[in-house]
Amino acid sequence: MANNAEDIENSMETNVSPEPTQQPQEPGGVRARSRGGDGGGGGGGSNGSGPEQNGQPPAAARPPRVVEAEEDEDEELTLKYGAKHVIMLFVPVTLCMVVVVATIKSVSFYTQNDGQRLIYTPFPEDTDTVGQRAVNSILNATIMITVIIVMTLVLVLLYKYRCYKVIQGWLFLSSLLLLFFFSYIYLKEVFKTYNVAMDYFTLAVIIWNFGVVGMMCIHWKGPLRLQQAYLIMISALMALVFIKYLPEWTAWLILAVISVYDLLAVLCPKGPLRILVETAQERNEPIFPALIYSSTMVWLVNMADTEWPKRNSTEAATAQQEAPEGVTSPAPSVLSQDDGGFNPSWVNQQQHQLGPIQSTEDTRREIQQMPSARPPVDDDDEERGVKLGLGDFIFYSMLVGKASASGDWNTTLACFVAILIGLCLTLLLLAIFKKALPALPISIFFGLVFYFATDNLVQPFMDRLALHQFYI
Amino acid sequence: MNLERLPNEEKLSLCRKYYLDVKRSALGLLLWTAVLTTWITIFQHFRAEWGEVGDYLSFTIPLGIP
Repeated sequence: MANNAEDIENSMETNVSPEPTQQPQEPGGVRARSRGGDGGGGGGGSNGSGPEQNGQPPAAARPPRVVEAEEDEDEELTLKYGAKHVIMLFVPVTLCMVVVVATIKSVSFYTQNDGQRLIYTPFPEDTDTVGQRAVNSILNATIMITVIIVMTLVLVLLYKYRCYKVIQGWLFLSSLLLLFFFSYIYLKEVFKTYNVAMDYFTLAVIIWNFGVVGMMCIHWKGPLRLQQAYLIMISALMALVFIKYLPEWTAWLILAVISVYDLLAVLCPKGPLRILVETAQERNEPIFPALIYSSTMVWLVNMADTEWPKRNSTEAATAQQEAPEGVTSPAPSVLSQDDGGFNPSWVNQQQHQLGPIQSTEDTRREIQQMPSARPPVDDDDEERGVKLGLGDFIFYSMLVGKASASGDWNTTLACFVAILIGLCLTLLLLAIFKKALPALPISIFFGLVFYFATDNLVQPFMDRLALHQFYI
Repeated sequence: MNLERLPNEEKLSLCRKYYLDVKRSALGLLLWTAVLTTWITIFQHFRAEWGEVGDYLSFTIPLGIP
């Protein structure tokens, strides 16, 4: 999937910030950080009529103290603000990972090797020699990354030439397929695992409701928690698909390569995602509120006041999966010799779903940055949330899911902790730099290091200790 | 529309409209709960006895002896 720039956006604006509640100086002197200058000036002005005013401190002493106080409060608020938003992102990321790990551990379908592969990873990994396997996995990863890059470029071009309808339709179809088809498969496997009989009628009711409410929540309006829950669920579904259909070495390689790509695409001046952000900023438009997990629902209030006519529907959506769209219309190819019951039409569907999924990943890495021309939001800290792209959720969960599939709990927990630490660091950097950042590199790097280290070093060590009943 | 800027009567009428929808939705919920519970009970209980029809209606068929 395209590593859409999962940038975590810190939507804090220092210009329009609420007045800090604690005021070490006189209230009159420190109105707000941005208006500190006025306060200082006002204090100086009122002091000008000196002896006639009562209780006015010397003007000269005021401005320096005012400025200092403002800077201190600035720092404090930045850190506090940053910490709160770290926690706000921990919960959804953890939930997504928990869902994926729980599914992997209980439903064996997602760890079975049916011989099915994605069209994007045509080289098999069950080869005779290790060298051949390595070559195959490198080729697979290359193909995947190329597809992702192409998708990102297509998206940026579409955006640049204002083909908004195409993009919206693409997203719509993507989320449609994800919400209906993948959840259908997921339910089927869960029922099979727990040996539960289910009739078509009840199933239809469940899937229909789940899908329609999901589409509404994601693309239109809905309660914030429900929207967030749906985003988490579709990220988990996507991650499960990846865990099932990407062969072992290919998956790890793809994770590594995609982090690098994320870094480049978001930070390099000619990176497609950066171009996307800048174009959006020039036009004073928000970039695809779809496909982004937002911890708050800020913009709904101002929607009617803005002059972005086409944006209103997408603005309400915070994140979505794009539905597979015929942007890539690959010829139906046989994925494996043994169908395993999957006929070509199913394969086509898979390709379609997974095609846009690639593209969705690209779009998912939309850089969310607040355009400066946004109408001033007269709210407080709580309403300005942090945004994280859905692709980030997907790759984090994929890493932890693969760790739980092949390792045991030590490895899983180690990867989980590593990813959260990476997320913390990324948010810290976000608070420092205050611009869109890629969320994948640090977390994935830590996750990979911890996975391989734990799996190869810590795990055998623990096993030996347990074997010899040696407690340390 | 900005909620604060609406005059009071319009706010009241809006509230009434939405509340009506809430009531209808609650009614629908009750109806569907009743229908589904009945159907599911019947299906789970009699699925094995229905033989072929039961299998035809089933999305997943559990293994083992019912």
